[in-house]
Amino acid sequence: MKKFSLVTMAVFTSAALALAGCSSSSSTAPSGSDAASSGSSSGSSSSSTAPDTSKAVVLNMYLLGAPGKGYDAMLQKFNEELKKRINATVKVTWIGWADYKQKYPLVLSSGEPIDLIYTANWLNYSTEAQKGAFMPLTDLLKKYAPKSYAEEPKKALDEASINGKLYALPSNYTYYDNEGYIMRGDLMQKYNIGPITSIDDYGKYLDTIKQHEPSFDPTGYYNTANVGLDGQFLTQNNEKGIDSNLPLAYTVNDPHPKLVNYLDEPRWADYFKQMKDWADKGYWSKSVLSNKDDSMFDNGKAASKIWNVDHFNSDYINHPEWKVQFYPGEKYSRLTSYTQDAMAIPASAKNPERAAMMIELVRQNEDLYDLLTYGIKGTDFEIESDGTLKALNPENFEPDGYGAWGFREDRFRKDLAGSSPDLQKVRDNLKSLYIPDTLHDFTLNLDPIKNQYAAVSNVMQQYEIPLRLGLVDPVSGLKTLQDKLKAAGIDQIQTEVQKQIDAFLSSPH
Amino acid sequence: MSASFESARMLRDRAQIGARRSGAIVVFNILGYSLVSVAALLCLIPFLMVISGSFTSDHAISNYGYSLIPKEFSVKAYSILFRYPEDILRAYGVSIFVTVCGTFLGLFLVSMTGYVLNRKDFRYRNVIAFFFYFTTLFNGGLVSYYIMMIRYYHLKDNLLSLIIPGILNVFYLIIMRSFMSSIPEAISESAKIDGAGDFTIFYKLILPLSKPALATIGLFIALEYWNDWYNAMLFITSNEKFPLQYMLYNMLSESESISRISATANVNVQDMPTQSLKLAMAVIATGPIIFAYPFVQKYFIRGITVGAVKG
Amino acid sequence: MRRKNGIVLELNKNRTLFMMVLPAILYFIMFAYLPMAGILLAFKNYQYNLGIFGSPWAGLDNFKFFFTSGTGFIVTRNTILYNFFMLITSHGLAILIAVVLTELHGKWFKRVSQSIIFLPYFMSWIIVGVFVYNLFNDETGVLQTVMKALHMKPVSLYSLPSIWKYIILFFNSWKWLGYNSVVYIAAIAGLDEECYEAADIDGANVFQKIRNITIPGIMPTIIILMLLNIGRIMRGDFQMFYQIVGNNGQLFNATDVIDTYVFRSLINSGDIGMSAAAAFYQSFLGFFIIIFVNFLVKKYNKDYALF
Repeated sequence: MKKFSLVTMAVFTSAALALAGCSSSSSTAPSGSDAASSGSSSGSSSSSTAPDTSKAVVLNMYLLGAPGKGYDAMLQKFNEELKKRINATVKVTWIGWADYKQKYPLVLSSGEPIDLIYTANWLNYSTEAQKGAFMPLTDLLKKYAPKSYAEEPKKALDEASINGKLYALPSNYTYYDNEGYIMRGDLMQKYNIGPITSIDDYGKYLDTIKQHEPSFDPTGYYNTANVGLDGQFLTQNNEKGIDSNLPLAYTVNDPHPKLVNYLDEPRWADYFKQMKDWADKGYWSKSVLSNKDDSMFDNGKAASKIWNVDHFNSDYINHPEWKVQFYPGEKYSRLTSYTQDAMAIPASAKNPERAAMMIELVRQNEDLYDLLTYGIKGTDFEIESDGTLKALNPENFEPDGYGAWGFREDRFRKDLAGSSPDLQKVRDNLKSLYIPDTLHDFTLNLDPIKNQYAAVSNVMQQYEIPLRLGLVDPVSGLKTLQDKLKAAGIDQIQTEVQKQIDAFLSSPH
Repeated sequence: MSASFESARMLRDRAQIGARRSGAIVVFNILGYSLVSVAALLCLIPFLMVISGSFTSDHAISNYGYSLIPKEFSVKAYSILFRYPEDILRAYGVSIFVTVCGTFLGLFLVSMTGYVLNRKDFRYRNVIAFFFYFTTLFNGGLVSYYIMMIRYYHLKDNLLSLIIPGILNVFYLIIMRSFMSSIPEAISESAKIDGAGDFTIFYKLILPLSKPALATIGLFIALEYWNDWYNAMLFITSNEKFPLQYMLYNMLSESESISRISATANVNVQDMPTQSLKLAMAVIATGPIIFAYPFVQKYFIRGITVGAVKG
Repeated sequence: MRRKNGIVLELNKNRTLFMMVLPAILYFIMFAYLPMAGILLAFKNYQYNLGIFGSPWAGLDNFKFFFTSGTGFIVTRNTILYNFFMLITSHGLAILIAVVLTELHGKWFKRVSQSIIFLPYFMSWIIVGVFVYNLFNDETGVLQTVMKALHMKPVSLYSLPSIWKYIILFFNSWKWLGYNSVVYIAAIAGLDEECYEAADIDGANVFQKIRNITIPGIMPTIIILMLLNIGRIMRGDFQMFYQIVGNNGQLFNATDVIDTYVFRSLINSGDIGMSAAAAFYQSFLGFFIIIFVNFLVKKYNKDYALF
């Protein structure tokens, strides 16, 4: 193939001659990857005790997002430290928010040499790993990042392991998640509305807004996959969905979970009727499914929204005058996936040892961690007397804004100044609502059912979402949905996933 | 007697024809002007709303929608776009460079190839045309294309990766060939008899005769280069090589996604006017090409080809 | 043997012409034919570390999702019908505008209106999508407001999927009107002025000139553009459908095309093999359609054919 490419290059030069006049400045080959390629090879084969760092290397790191102007200054400082400690520097390539869904898998699938890459469950970590994108890390980490590996919660390691192999080191960060009601505290006071403890309480609030504040959109719903109250309703009897695109659920703390198609439960028929009623009352727009305005609440147009604690806190910081409140919407809290943020070493890496050493450095050294995450102390941020972090120039460097999430360490984390005084109380409350999930470490293998999965997720989008937003007749709509799901192969999926669950439960983990 | 009768009849006929003709012209003009005016209005009003919207606060857009006159005047979108003016200017520079190079090279290659494909005495022209056309039906998909560009041609972060993909578009090639087929073949043949080489014929005779075609295809190629952000998304990694459209696109999606994705990151989300930003982007990116259009237009006047043939 | 000689002879005779077309041939080999190895992915279970050629075969497995539950056929039909009608409406309008514009006499009017008609081209589908929502949404939409003001019973367009065909056709024609008409204006500009002069002398009126000179004159261009678009008949304009319809499941039955359906089905799994399979299906069908249509055109007039 090499020879082949040389021939084609030679042929190409004839065509490129004409181009050369136009682009002399741009015809140099990228040097970063070549320079990096001179590092040492495979990690597990070397047997010496002290890692050999005699040779300087450039680590090719891919992160998600787009940095501010201050990032380069930070990175220069960071690289000085890195050079001193492990004789390496890091070159960051960004995958912008514009098309990460397309570009992230593309970069991995092309096999271009990358030493370190951010990964996450929402970037299809497990699928990518199963396709051979990443290097197995256990031996490498034990040797070159022993402390971070040892400190990583066992649950996190289990969760990130796929078919018994660890392909990424998840962030060490515990977070109790609950999609709750984010409310305008000022409006609640005005109409004397008490705490929201149920879907019906929420409905009363929506009704009050609809009656008395016609300029507000009560819910602020817009078109996303998780619009509506399905999640909140599902959890009422401790059920949990196995996958966000499948109508299959199990009882969360059942030691021997059995999957059910929850749409067959009679209570869902009632729920859809209730939602039809709410839609007819105008709690959300009839054209909600075409509304792409995701910031109605932030712009003061909506009276509530349904999201997590972090959204609550940032809304509180941005609009203190609204007295934004948060009430848990789901009956129990989940421990978020540890693989929500992780760092992986791609199979194409040229310097896996040094990459692992860099992970260890960032996760064990608070100064380096702060540098990479929050920027330069005194320039980009400072620590207030109460221990909170104040951003000094967020346009230049937004603390925790630039893709360092894969290194996240709970003990180094800093809350932002100006946060809601209730924040800790809310977090404690969410922690108290936590119920352990029997299948927390279970990873669904979609491969045997990928055709049915594609068809079912499509049917859910087409028929379930209009139903949950009360835009179609609740009785006939449910019937259509169930028929389409059957045709798309929901039963085969259920059988297969149950099989995978049973296998998971009977294997030691 | 008969002669004067004859000429009187001719006069009457002519007058009738003239009346019929002017009647037809009146009808045509009424229909024509109203049709074009309606079409132009339908195209102009939305554009004015875009301009107005780009000067409106997000709060007003969210609450009242677009309007012809800004309800709450704000230049926040522009101040964000021009927060780092040198970046925008550099991105303009990259875009202009890529567009100019790509358009000239592309136009040259497209017209040269199109000319050959139109030469009736070139026996394999249909085979070659099919060879080209086939690539519009089948392609290897993104992954293999990306692998080729990055790992075999080493075009990562190289401005050539922005120029090459648009340089030879089969559709333009075929349209060009079709345009050239209206140039009388006698021109090539007589020049050949005079001893001119094929390239000379193409360069000295055919190109000057193809001005409307060159203007059209040149415009299309230029628009494509100017609007392209996709190749930059795939291949360009350093900020200073971002073309304008990609830079704007990135800014926009950054402001849209930052609240969504990095929510768990405990980020203090800034108030980004995503709605007006979208519109301001459209205004900034459209501007230059609108100014370029009238220059192209002067080649669309009927008769210049024939004039050239005669001259 | 004879044939080979024929090629050598031909290349020798038309050496310059061959050299002139060579850059294009090399270009397509390098940037189109070599990457076609990726077509194999449609039949493979792609493993990144094994590469395209090393990955195990998957037979026709990647194609199955498309036909599960019969949606594949519905979206194929939608794609073809949409493209067919868009071809007629958008090019029909563009031809009309081009013909009328060239016959009008106000120079200033012509130039300005032609530029203005080009403006929608610059508006991304994202912005068009917002416009559509602003026009038709149920609470503050322009249409609803007007209907309420006229004391009519407001209609919710978002619960009327069948009307969206026309909305999409309209916006498609609107966006491409200026762009498409440029080709026809240029084609008319290339017509022989002497014909018009002769027609003037013969006393033809403007409608007769259009019918007898302009339309036949631009017929080759019309046919070529039709053919080029028929070659694309299996490909939906993803951005247009996605930005106008979005994820509004209520409208899918009437508005789903192959590209949006595949996008939605695979967005969660991101399966490269399956999307390659869908693309191959589009290419394969498109290939036969265009070969057939081109064959028909060739029978009618050899010069109008694509190849």
